[in-house]
Amino acid sequence: MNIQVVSKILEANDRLADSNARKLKAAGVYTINLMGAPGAGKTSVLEAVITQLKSGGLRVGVIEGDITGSEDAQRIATLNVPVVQINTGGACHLDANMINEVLDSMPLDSLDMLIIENVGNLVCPAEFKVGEDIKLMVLSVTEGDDKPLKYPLMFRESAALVFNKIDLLPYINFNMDRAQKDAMTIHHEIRIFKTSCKTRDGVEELCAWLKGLR
Amino acid sequence: MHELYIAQSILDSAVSHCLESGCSRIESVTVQVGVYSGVMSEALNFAFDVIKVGTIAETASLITEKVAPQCVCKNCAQIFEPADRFILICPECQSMDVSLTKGFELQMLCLEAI
Ligand SMILES: Nc1nc2c(ncn2[C@@H]2O[C@H](COP(=O)(O)OP(=O)(O)O)[C@@H](O)[C@H]2O)c(=O)[nH]1
Ligand SMILES: [Mg+2]
Ligand SMILES: [Zn+2]
Repeated sequence: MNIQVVSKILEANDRLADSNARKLKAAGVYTINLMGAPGAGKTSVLEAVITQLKSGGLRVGVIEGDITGSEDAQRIATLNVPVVQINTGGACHLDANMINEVLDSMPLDSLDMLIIENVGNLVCPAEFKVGEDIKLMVLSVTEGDDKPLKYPLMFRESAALVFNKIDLLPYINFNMDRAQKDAMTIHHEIRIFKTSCKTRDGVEELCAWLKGLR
Repeated sequence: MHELYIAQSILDSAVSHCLESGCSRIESVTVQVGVYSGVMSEALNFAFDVIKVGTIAETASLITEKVAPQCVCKNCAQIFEPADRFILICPECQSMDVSLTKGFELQMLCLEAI
């Protein structure tokens, strides 16, 4: 017998992600899945925006995903926001089940926004929804301008792309026009930001956009 | 990188569809894998062969249909397969203002069961 199925392979994860999303929405929390390569500056961007979002009255919480260790959670904890560390123990991405397991330890009712820093990886996190409203991607300019076409799925899935470490542009060959054009070929409506966590250039614009999301 | 997880999802879903249809053995499972999906067919087949042992899919083959990338030209509406995945240019009007419309698929299509 031939059985027609036509279903997404990651359906089980998607279903759990939808249940996370419902829980977050019910608590009035806007959720962002933050992705990018190891070292792109995900935690640095978080640190830069949290300070500013907090002073604007937004209540932000963070879930940190790493293969091992709690360095990133410790960095975020110094900013006095609720933070939980998840160690994936080898897995290259967070999935909906891992988020489901820690959601109850977050004070969701007293949060406006939850930012989930995914495991550093340009491939796998894009495939696994965790219950987010949007995906946000950080690409540091030192990674090269060919990345959109090499790792198109993540650009395709991200609502916005942050080109980080722009303070380093004078020292490297990074064709911003090319990278931007390629990213928009893959995802026409992607929002683009350019930041430096060192000089804080562009941080203001990114924060303004983040505030407007909810 | 996580082909094992994906293979397990395919197997679980195939087994439940097979049993729901009143069948007891799976002969083949067909999946679509876009070239941009981030999943390697070879690794997926390898993982599937490892985990199917001892299940009703023990003798099943996993058929992976590759989905080629497809672009649509925003200037002249031409639909084309890019000749090179790093140079997306419309063959009709040479415009570089194009959007990728296919190649991201990762889905199960059907299975053969008895
Ligand atoms: N020059 C420069 N360095 C940065 C910038 N953002 C982050 N870094 C550095 O890049 C390294 C990795 O940053 P981190 O935030 O831990 O990256 P993550 O792995 O993506 O979370 C650290 O040494 C940061 O100080 C930036 O805008 N400019
Ligand atoms: Mg980090
Ligand atoms: Zn054209």
